[in-house]
Amino acid sequence: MSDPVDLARDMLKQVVDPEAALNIVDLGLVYDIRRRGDALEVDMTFTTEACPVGPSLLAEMREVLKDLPGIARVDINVVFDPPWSPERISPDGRALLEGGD
Amino acid sequence: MTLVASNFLGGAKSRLLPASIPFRYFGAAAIFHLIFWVALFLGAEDLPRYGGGQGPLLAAIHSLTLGVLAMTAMGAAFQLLPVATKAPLRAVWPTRLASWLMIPGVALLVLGMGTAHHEAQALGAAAAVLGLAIFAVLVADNLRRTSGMVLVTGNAWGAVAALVAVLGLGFALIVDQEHGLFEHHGRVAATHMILAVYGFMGLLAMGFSYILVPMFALSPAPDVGLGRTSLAFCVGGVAVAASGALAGSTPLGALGGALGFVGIVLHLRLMTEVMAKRMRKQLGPSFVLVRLGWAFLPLSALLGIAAASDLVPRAATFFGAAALMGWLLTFVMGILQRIVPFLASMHAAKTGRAPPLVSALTPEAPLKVHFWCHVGALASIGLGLVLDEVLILRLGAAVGAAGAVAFLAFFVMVMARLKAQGGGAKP
Repeated sequence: MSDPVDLARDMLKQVVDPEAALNIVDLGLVYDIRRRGDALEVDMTFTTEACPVGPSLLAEMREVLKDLPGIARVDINVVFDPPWSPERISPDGRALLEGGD
Repeated sequence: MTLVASNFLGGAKSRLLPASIPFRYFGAAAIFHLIFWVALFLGAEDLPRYGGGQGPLLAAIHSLTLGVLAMTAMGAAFQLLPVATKAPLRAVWPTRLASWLMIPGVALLVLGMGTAHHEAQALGAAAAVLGLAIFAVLVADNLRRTSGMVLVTGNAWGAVAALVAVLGLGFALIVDQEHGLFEHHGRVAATHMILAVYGFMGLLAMGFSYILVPMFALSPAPDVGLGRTSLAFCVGGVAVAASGALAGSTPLGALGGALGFVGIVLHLRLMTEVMAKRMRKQLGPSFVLVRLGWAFLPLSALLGIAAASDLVPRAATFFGAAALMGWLLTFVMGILQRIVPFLASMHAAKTGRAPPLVSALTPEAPLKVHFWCHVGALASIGLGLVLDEVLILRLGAAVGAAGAVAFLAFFVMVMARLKAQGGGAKP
């Protein structure tokens, strides 16, 4: 059986920031995913504290993580310390962004 | 399975207004944008030496300031400020009431100014003042309940303070036309203009830039300390310049312009840094407009200093054109090109599905037409003013009107795509 942490990270790549047209993992919004017993904790951020897309991203994350095997509870912590910065974008994400709008 | 977003979701949904609220303001702005260019076409012969007075040019100026700029500010602030400050509006109905007063009020005011019909102006002005007063109260209440986002909230507080003064002076100027309240109508009008352009709209535009530009460009947030310094210089500059205009004092007017210029340079330095560090290299024609607007911002301040000092013939006309059309209109249209489809995507997500990509909601063809028409109109208006040639000014206004039709088509297409996503809004 796959590690739920890795599985969750892969599943979260389905959640795409509609403005950047890039998934939240490659965009560097997901800081940490860890397992505590039958619970999964996700630390994440937004590109800005005022991100209007934030609530819909969280709703989508809940949707994609709801059927994670072996996990009874998912806690998503939105943190702004450290703040997001462009350096957090993955090499794949950078390549996509440099390819066009 | 239990899913919890422990520290963010509280109140998040209530911070997203019904789609009809922001889009009614943006739709009205798109229509007044067209009215602005048409009225400018009709009043072009007065433009090179305009010193105030009734007629199509006064109607054009207020179509632009109240119809396009203030309407956009209201739509954007009602939707984005509660998200930025994490403090939802206490109720939605005042935002609707403000639109019912503001949209017909500005239409009546503009009609009254264009036809020199005093009663229409007074009635329209009263309605618009009430609409903007509701806006000021709602924004102030929202800002009062937050302590974060210091650059946005600081600029917004400055904008609200300026707006209160603008509303009082604006209504008094309308009354003065019939009843002669002021000994120096021109000085009060100049004060009204400085507070409206640089105080209300300017500070609001700068404040929203601190969140919108990094968000669209995927850049780090700007330096807060430098932003505060910029704000202090801008607020000081507006206060001193407005006092100078009211007192008819050239040194005070020039000093205010100089202080404001320093604040503007600091703001543009922050924006330049944000753009230099952006991860999104291709931002399209909307950001060319934004950058073009930024280029006109310091130029407008320098022309304002020249106008206050009587250094350059017809400097006041060049100043007005650079500030209103070159800076604010260009900047706001660039931002509107971005936030209309962006907010449409947010509202489509409310229907329970993943939000559509903003790019999928953005019709590119009308935006390209609008972009080239806008740039062409600015170039023609500038040339027409330098050469003092009405035909070139009319040509510029006609090209601008063609661009406004293209922008209106863009807006309608975005609304149609939103409706197709199941998140329809009645503009």
